[in-house]
Amino acid sequence: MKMGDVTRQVQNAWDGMPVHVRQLSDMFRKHGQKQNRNTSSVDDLDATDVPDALRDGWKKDSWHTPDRVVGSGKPNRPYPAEYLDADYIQQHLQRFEGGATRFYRTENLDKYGPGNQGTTFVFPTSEIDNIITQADGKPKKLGVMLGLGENFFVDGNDKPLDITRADFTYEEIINGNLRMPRGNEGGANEAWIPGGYLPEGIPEGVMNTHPDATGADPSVGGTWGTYTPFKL
Amino acid sequence: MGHVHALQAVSGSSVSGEVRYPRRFEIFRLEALGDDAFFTDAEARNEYERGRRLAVTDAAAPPAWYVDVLHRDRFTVTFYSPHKTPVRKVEWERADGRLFRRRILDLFYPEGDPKRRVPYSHLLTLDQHWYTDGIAHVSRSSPIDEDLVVEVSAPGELQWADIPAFGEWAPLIEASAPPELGRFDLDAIDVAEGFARATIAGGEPMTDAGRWNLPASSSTVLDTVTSLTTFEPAPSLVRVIEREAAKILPIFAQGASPAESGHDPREERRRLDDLAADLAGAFEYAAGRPIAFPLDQRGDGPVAEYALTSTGTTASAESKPASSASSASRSTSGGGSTYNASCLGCWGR
Repeated sequence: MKMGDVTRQVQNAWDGMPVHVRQLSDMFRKHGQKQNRNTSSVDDLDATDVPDALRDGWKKDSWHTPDRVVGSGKPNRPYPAEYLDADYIQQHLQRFEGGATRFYRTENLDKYGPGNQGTTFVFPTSEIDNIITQADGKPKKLGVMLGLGENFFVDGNDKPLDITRADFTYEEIINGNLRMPRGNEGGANEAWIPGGYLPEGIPEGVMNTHPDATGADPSVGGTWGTYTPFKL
Repeated sequence: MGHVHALQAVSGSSVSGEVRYPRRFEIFRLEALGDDAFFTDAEARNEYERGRRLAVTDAAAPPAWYVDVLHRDRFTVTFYSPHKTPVRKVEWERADGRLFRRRILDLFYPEGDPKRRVPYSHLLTLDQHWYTDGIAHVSRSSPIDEDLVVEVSAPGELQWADIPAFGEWAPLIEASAPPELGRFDLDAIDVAEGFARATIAGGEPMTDAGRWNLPASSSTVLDTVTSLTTFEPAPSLVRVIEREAAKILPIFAQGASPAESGHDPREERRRLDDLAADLAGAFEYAAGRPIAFPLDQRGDGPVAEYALTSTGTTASAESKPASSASSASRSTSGGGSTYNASCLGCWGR
């Protein structure tokens, strides 16, 4: 396949694609580090990167585009309800009915606590468990699949690192006001994409963490998560 | 006087007596989880010998100590007050067929026992990182005061232990036990300072004239970057190099190669890795993204890129005023006049 053919296919793939899908697709590819695809995958350009739900979840009448949302920067990014359909948001959050999970480097958890400026990003527990199963005991593979990088669970010499898994029950995430990430959160970095997905396609949400996280005082919303040493 | 109770538990029957092996151990509430919460001894032995991660605690509720066994390569012993507050954490790591005491972290609570775990960055801490070539990196960090950070040579203070056979936990626990110190009142400030000074006095000052290391903790580096980006006075511990419009924070400079300095190159690398991990954690907390620290590179790299893309935020290894982001980019990519942060971790100059 010649380069001109590739360009034409790319052009054809872009044509007719809604601007929000085009921009989201670009973000997913860029941050998911899939930009080095070979020519055979060019045909999939408009189909693979943006989760189907998100492709259809952007409000048709919103003047916000993904580029504008991201470009607004912290702390000015708009509320997701301004550009995402209410049904989409509701369905997205329903994916957390089985609870939420995230991983910490224990060293960082010890030093800085479970939240970042009062919030933490979390993932649906059921989907995390599926990914762990798919990783088949391979820590580097798991790190990549979770978008954490291949050296999140092991060091440069492949020695396992001390990782803590935090699990939040449905009641805890409701108490924590689970919501669609806005992109203004302390943990949102330059790879953040509007719409509630990591660049790797894993759904994410954000919730508040109480400064007394894991305290047992019901007045602050019960216990705030269960933190256990992670074994792969 | 929670520490006294902790010590009593450590020196009492709980070390040599009954211990428990939680299947899942909640590290904040110090509880074993689940209906069938504990491994039997036979099950735990099997886990240990297979190199699986294993939790070991004394039989008290809450436990006074907890050992996290990670693949029989790393044994982390944490001691608690009777109210579940961590007071000391000691990490032992496999090296040359034995366990080397790699790190000791002592925690002090001048405002009293919080009766729970709080982020260590909010506390007075004394953190000792030990290296097999006899060097110790000692830092006393405080949320209200500048850090005390010193490297000393103290080969006589290195501690080694045998890798325990299953069930033989007592020697490791006893070798890790916290000294009797007042940790839970205002006097803890002076106690921590005195403990730090005594620890430093146990070694010899590093005399390698060509060697320079960052005399501040990662949180102070972060505070410095924040101060620079907001045009406020920066903490005095962190050196700031001004080069044209750029302000540069040297993180680690090495005057000579390990071969010349006589230090163990593996441990020299480990010192950099430890520092890099510490900084990455601090910057991730501040900006939502860790820094890849390419220790073998010179010139433009991810750290410099990070510095540029973070311009105007509160996290940057190479700080620039927010209003001059584009000129910062030109300055760095233009070459010649720049000295980016990533090259500061390299050997030599």
